[in-house]
Amino acid sequence: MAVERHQKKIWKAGGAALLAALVVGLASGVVIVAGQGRVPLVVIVLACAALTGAALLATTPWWRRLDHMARDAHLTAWYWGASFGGGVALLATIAASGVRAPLFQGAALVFLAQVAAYGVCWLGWWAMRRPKAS
Amino acid sequence: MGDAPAQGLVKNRLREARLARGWSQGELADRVDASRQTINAIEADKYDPSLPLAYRLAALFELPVEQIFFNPFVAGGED
Repeated sequence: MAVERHQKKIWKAGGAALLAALVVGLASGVVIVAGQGRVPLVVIVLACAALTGAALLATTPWWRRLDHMARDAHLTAWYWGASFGGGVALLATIAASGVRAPLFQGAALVFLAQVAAYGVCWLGWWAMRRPKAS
Repeated sequence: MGDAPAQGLVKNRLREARLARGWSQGELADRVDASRQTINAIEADKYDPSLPLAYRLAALFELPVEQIFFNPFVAGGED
């Protein structure tokens, strides 16, 4: 079965994004290991934010090549699927380990960071679509 | 003016237009830079195209948009 040109472009961009994300992941590992106990936490957080941002930027060509329906599928899956999976994991972590356990605190931190980044992204999305004042 | 249709209820005659040109779904998908799955879903009335894609398809077939995608908000639109 012939593969359409559009599909080939998606695969190429996706492959490049995956490779870039792996490189960023390795770099993040180096930063985290090197920074433990020797670098202020705020510097580590900023470095991790920069590296994660770089990984996301690397996926931009892939995201832009997706058509509207494919993006819609990802956004829907992220909202419903990822929210459900994350919620179940968070509640199960509380049930299994209690709220004082480091496991729950780590999970809660991830959840709070996601909510905060979601809020920033949501506000930015609407701000970019505000009409210019005449 | 009627109620807003649920997702995927905008009827269309994309399949007819494509077959009249003798194109496969994959060929049409490449001509409008979309995926074959998207064309398949639109033809099956399972997904409404974005406005740019609807215009792109209309331009490709040299037809007004409403001759491919029937406007459900006007009388006789959903033929």
